[in-house]
Amino acid sequence: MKEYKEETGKNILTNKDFTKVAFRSGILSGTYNYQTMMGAGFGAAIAPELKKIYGDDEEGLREALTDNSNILNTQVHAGSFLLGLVLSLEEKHAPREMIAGVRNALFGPLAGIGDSVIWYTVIPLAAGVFGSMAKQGSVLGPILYLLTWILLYILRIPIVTAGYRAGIAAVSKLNEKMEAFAKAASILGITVVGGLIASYISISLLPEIKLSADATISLQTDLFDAIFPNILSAGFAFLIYWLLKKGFKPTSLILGTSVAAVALSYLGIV
Amino acid sequence: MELTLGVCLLIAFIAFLAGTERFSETIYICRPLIVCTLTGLACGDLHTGLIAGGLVELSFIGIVPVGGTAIPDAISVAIMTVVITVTQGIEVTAAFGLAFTVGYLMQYLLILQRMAYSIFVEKTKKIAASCNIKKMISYQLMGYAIIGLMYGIVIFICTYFGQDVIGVIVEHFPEPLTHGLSVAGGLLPAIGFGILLTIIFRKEYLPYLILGFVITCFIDFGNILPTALIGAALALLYYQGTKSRAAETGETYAGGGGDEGI
Repeated sequence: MKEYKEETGKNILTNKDFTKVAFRSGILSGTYNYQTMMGAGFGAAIAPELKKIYGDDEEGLREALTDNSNILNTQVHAGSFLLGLVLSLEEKHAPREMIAGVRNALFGPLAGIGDSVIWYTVIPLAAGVFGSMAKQGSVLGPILYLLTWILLYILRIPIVTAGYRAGIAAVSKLNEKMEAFAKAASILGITVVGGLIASYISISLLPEIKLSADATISLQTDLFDAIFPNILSAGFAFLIYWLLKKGFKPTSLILGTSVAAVALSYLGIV
Repeated sequence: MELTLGVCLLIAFIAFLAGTERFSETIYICRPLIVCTLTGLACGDLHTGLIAGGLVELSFIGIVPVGGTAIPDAISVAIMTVVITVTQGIEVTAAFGLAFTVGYLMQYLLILQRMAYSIFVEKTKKIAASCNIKKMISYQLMGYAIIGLMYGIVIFICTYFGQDVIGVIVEHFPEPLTHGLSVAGGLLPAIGFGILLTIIFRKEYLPYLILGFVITCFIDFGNILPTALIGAALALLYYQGTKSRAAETGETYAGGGGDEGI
């Protein structure tokens, strides 16, 4: 591994290839299974470019294709970086064990960063904004939501390219920045979730307590709303969080919530 | 309203498209907001599609394909919410509660599918070793298409044959039951948020959660964009803070990483 040097000057792959890889990144999970996960998809996603690199060297191509089809599990947007990085190493004919090492070392951390950006930040944000537009009956909601995703798909072109250009130096650098970046993304995500709890969980209690002939207290408006708006929503969200932490399955909580709501409805409480 | 065979086939086709696209994570037509809107269009009731889309999308915010938790399937819940609302003329929130039955069914079918896909392991290895690039790619696409087909068939059965069954059930529902389901529909987003919190929440993030909540309670605005922007500002402050701290002490960003989970 030590004798490997980064050579420059003989680039086989062009920007056109990176664009193709970026769009082909969609096939990563095609045969996703519990054994090799996205492995076969990863190999397939860069197969045409590997063919371009190896040309007539069938033995080299075979090794590259099978090696790159080994087990891998990542998040697609961030994982696109690895597609570019592996291609740059393949193009420079880095030792096989080195390529496998980089592949194994990076797919997990990249999944971490991709998950925190896409699933914990973009989705709460875009769904919160565009979903609420749709809820008010605006067709712009779904249209803008779809455009957001299309934009993020196109964004994989520069991500693949960045992976290719970064080369092996990227491995240590990426690990350094990842932590702060993922944390910043979580802060944004958490703030939005706080907002979503306030706006999208609706509870309204019906009972009124009769104090005298002409004075009643409504449990909802006179008590809970007077303490703090949406306080029941926050309480319910924390109850669910706590139960999940206790090991309750989401499926049973959905079922439990439905049963409880129906029971409370029969009792005239909600 | 009764859905004709043609409409049911159209809805099944939407399910096929969304199911095929779902795991490719490309343009996310598989998200409930898009699926509901398309199903609403197919039923000739765009408005219901939009309302349902907003509700289901928000409820599934935290329901992510991460960590392998078993969760009801979003696509089938989305489609069935619109179908039940349109055919039975009940509230979207009540239909949402009922639609979960199909979501559970699909959830288990998908687990079976992933187990079954192990048959591809040996096959794809052989194809890679034979350097057949076209076949490598087409096998991945085939994998998606089979999932899409599964969705199409299940949704067709549930809409075309299921609408009468659902109709009979809903007809015999007493008022408090429908109302209760409706209330449940308003509560279910909490499950999605809760799951999201179990993944990203740590005690050190509590201030941000409180800020987001309080800001949203008092900003009278149609959506949560203002809260999101404040969140972005806080995230930037944090990121710049780590940068300048690292510059001062000469440490790397990862240097402060040991205190996670405090």
